[in-house]
This record gives sequence, structure tokens and C-alpha cells, in this order.
Amino acid sequence: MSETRNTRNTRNTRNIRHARRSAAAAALAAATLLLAACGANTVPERSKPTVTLDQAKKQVDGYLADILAKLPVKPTAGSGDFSDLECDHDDVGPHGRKQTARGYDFGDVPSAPKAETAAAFRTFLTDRGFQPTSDATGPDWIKLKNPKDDFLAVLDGVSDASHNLSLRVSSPCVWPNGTPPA
Amino acid sequence: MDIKTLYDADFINLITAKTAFDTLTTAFGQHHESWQQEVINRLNNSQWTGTASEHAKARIQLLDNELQAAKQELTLVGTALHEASEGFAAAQAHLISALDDAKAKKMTVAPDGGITWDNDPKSANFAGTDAEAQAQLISKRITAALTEADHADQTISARLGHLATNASNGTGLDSATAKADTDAARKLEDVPPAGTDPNSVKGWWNSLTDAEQQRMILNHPDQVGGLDGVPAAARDQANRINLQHGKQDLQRQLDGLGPEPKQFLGYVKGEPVPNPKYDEWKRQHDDLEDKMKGVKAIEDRLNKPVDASHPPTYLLGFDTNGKGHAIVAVNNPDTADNVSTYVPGTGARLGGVGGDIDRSDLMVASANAANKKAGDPATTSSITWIGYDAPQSIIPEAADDTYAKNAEDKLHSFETGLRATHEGKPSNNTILGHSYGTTTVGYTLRDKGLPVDNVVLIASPGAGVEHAKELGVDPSHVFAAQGDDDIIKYAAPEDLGGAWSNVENNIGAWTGFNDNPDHHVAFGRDPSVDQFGAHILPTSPGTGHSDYWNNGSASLRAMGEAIAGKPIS
Repeated sequence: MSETRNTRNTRNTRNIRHARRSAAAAALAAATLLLAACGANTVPERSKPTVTLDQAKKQVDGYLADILAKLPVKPTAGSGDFSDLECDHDDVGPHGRKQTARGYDFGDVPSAPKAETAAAFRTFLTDRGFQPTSDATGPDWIKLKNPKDDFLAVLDGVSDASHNLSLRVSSPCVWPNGTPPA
Repeated sequence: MDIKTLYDADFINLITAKTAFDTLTTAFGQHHESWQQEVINRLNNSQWTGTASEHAKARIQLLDNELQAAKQELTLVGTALHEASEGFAAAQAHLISALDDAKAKKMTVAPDGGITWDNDPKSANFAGTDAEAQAQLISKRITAALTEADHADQTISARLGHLATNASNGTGLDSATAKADTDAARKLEDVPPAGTDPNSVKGWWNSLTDAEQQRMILNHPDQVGGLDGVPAAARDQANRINLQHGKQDLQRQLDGLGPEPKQFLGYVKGEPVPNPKYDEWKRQHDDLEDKMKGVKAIEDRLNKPVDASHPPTYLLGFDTNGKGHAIVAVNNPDTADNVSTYVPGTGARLGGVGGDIDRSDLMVASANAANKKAGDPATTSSITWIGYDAPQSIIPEAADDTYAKNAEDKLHSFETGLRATHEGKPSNNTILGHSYGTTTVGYTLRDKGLPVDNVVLIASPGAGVEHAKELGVDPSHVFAAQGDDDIIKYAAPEDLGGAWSNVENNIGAWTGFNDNPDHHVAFGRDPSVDQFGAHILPTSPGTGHSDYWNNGSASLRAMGEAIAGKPIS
């Protein structure tokens, strides 16, 4: 009896190991296919030339200056340096593109000027072709994107409950020199 | 000490004095041994007995003890001289490095430390638009080097003065005094081994005086820099030294590779014949260059002028072993109110640390925004933790959970150390993993437990558990996110149970009998399904596997809110 039971256990263990190996192989195969599919769709898109990072920074500053000129509130401090973010950092690549962004805080703005600011922000940018993003439905922010260049402008903290209003403009992912490395 | 004195100092005299003292100590020791053999041994082997004999033997034993104590004290003089020469040399090297960098940046350093530069963009000597910020950094390095030299000077003076007093008044002949002095000197050399309980490490660190801590950092940066339980500021100081040593070592190795061999040995029937020497050269070259890229990314961030978007940075760990490791904190975790540790996944290595630091910067900014909106003055630190050997390929390495298992002790020790060194009220701590990093986080929580308040699992291929409550943290503080374009959801289960569950649930969904299907991924239940029991963080449409930190994204905003302990929008 004992011998039979052991034999059965050994068979079960083998079956489980075999099944695990099969599952792992299936996982790897699926992942390979998916990566290949993902790569086929995204790598050529990501490999297209863009504006340079310097040009993107100038564009961010240009948008910020234009927006600030239309708002009834003033920033409480300088903008600080640009924040860069490496795009596709742990994705299939190609690697090397960056987003850049910076913005301003306006502090705890009373309700009335805050509403005026939100309206001015929305009006000015939509007049320039910016459009609401599909996730701009949150109660506390207005997100507008320019479909022509994919720059994004966010006015955050627009609800009455917020104690800080902030503006941030960011670029899409761009190649630092405008073209992907050879 | 002034710049010229330190720059011109020649420490060879200290080395000479140390060598002379070592010679004296050796000779003294030999005399002592001879005396023991010639006098004590003969006396003990003689047949002399009685009261007079006992008195004589007691007196001679006392003399032996005094000679032994004297030898210990003499040894300590040599040790003190050696450490002083090392301390001065390190300070001088730091000064010269700062002055060289000033010169490279077209700046002039006056003898009093004042720095001048040319502001005219048309001038050949124009120092650049960021000259003022760079000058401030160099000025700080010069001041630090002079302080370091002053510290070494005061330390050697105090130690030699103490030993000289002992020698002149005879207390140096006392065994207890010599033992205390030896223990004190040894205390300056003995660093708790890696793996020591961080709370014990913190106790040891607190037992050292400020001066002793400084000596420990300067003499043993490689050990102190990676020791959990040592405060962040001290680890940072040690690891900045390690960073420079690592950089120099990588450059030496790159230089040692020699010229690039021919890629092909020739052509046979028009086909190139690969050159094995080239392949090996290329492998080593690319590995070293990749690590150097990481070193430079860390240097750039450490040296970046501080502003609202770029808080001070602390290097909490660094080495070039394997694919290299780095632990970088944005803001001081020992003083911040909220402390988050970000564990990246597949591909995490020293060479890629720059992109991970970008993410930490953005998470701090996002948490700050959440706090400001709530009128909360709380501060936040985000730590990029590449303290483990992560899988470097999706296939086959990321399908293997060994990397996560091997990281458990290291991550547990690090998080325990954060608690041990935090000042004041305990911070609100978060562990945040991305991709395979969530597996590392989940396994560690499951097997070791972590002293954290919140868990955030981004783009998870499984955390090794079926439900959030198995992580040992209140499930209402467990958060998960998965973007609609993230292929991680297709990482098929590594175990039969998970695979079968998916089959059943897929059939249920396809046939319309199950409108809320369960789902398993590579290492357990998908944390983003309802059945897992985590709080689901919002993501923006089109979020792929590495898009969670994109500017203006719902996920970045939500991560900041979770880290800051604020309601998720």
C-alpha cells in the first residue's frame, strides 16, 4: 500500500511539474507574441522624428507665458527648473525619448477668482485648439491637450475644497536631438 | 585650515613617523619577549620558593603587565598616525577634485575660497548660464574638504595628546587604561557586518561621538554606505565617496579593455566570420558603459541645484557588483513625514537609475501637490530602491520568481532601517512596486512582513498572494493600478491553479454566466481585480506598461495621493 501511494504521489508531482512547465512555456509564448504585437504597433510610432528637447522646453515656456498672461491670478513663486521624465523607461523601447514639464503654484485662491481663472484657462486654450482629454472629468482638475503637438496643460486644484491652485504644462515624448539614435 | 595649506601639504612625514613608531614598537615587543624568556621563564623554572619568592614573582608579573600595556599604547600611536595620514590625504583629494572641477568650468578660486567667473556669453571664458549654481556647489565642496582636514587635525591632536599624557604620567603602564584605549581605537575600526539588525546598527551608530562617526564614514565608506540603520545623511556622505571610487574603477576597467578588436576575423564564401575577442570586448565594454551611464545620472541628480521640483537628493546605496545597484532618496527619509520606497522591476539596474529617479522626483511632486491642496504642510521623500538583482529580460528571467525571493531579506532590512533612523514622529511609510517590483514587494510582505502603512502595486504580474489581506497590511491601504494598454494582464500564470482559474473564468465570461471574472497573472491573482481586495487607482486612457508616471496622468496623481495619505481622486 505504502509503495503504491508513493508511486501515485510521484506521478502527481511529475504531472504538476509538467503542467507548471507547460504553463510557464505558454506564458512565455503569450508574452512573446504580445511583445511582438506591441512592438509592431508602437516602435515605429515612437521612432518618428520629433521636436528637440530644447524646442519642447521653449514651447512649454511659451504656453506657460501665454496662459499666465490671461489668468487673473499670479504665481506665488518661480517655476523652478524643468522636470524631465524618461519615456518608455522599462518598456520595449526604443529608449531615449523624454517628456519635459514645469509649472507654477498660485496658493490658496478664493472661490471667485479661482472660478475666473478656470474659465480663463479653458477659454484661452480651447480658442487655441486645445481639447479636453478623455480623463479630464475629475472634480478637481482641467486637462487640455493640443492635438496638433500633443502638449498638455493642466490646471489642478480648481474645486472649492482645494487649498492650492497650480498650473503645469508638459510636452509629449520627444527625442533630445529630434531624431532617434541611428 | 586654508586652501593653500591643505593643497600644498605633504603627508609623507606622517607616514615616516608612523613607520618609525612601528619599528620602535616592534623592537620594544622583541625586548619584552626576550625579557619574558630570560627572566620570567627562568624564574618560574627555578626552585626558588618562599615568601620572598612570592613577592618577587608578583612584582615581576606587575612589571610584565606594565610592559604589555606600554606596547599596546605604542601600537596605538602608530595606528593614530596612519589614520591621520589617510584622513588628511582624503581631504586633500577632495579639495583638489573641487579645484580641478572649478578650473574645468572656467572658474577661478581665490586663496580665501572666493570664486569668480566670466559672465559674458561672447567671451571665450564664458562659464555658462548656470555658473552661479555650479560655483555654489564647488564652494560647498571646498568648505567640506577644509572641514574634513580640520577634523582630521583635531582628531590626531586629541589622540596623540592623550597617549603622550599617558606616557608622561605613567597611566599608559596601567593595563586597564591600555585596554580602554585599545577598545576605543578598535571601536573606530569595527563596523557591524552587513545583515546586522538595523535597530542594533542604529544603537551602535548612536554610541559613537560625532567625530567618531565622521572617521567611520571616511575610513569605511564601503561598509557604512550600505548599512541599514545608519542615518540617511551619513549613508549619503559615505556613498558619495563610494560613487567616486566606483566611477574611477569603472574608468580604469574601460581603459584596461584596450582598443576595439576587429569585429570579424574574415570572410568565408562572402559570409563574415565572427571574432570571439570582439564579442567579449563588446560585452564588457557595453556593461561598463551602461554602469557609467548610471553613475553619471546619479552625479547629475546629486549636483542639480535644489528647487521646488528638485529637492535635495541622498545616495543611500551604491555598488557596481553584477548589473550594479543604487538606492537614491529624493528628500531626506529620516525627516520627511511621508516616506515611499519605489521598487522597479524587470530591467532595474544601475545603468537605468536615471529614469527611476525621474519617477521619484515626480512622485514627490505629486505627493506635495496632494498635500498642498489639502492644506497639509507635510513633506515627502521617495526612494528609488535598486537594492536587489532584478531580472534583466522579460523572457526568460521575469518568469522566474527567484529574483523576488532573493530580494526579501534586503528589502526587509532596508525598510526596518528606515523606521530605525527616522527622527521624531513615525512617518507614513509606503512601499510601491512596479511590474516585477510588485512581485518583489508582495513576496517580501508575505514572507517577512514589512513595517509599512501603505502598499501600492503598479502594473503587477502578481504579488504572490490571492488577497490583499495576505500582505499583512490593512487592505484598505493596499492600492493597485493597471492601465488599459498594459500587456502585463496577459502574463499567464506560472501555476496550474491560476491557469485553470483563468480558463474557468474566461468560459464564464464568454458564456455570459460571469460578469465579474476573476483573473490570475504570473505570480498569483491579478491585484487589479475586485477579488483581490485592493483599492484600485485610476489610470488615464492609453496607459501602457511604463506610462504610469506620465505628466498629467491620473495614475501619477493617484500615486501621490496614496503616498501622502490623502483620499484618491
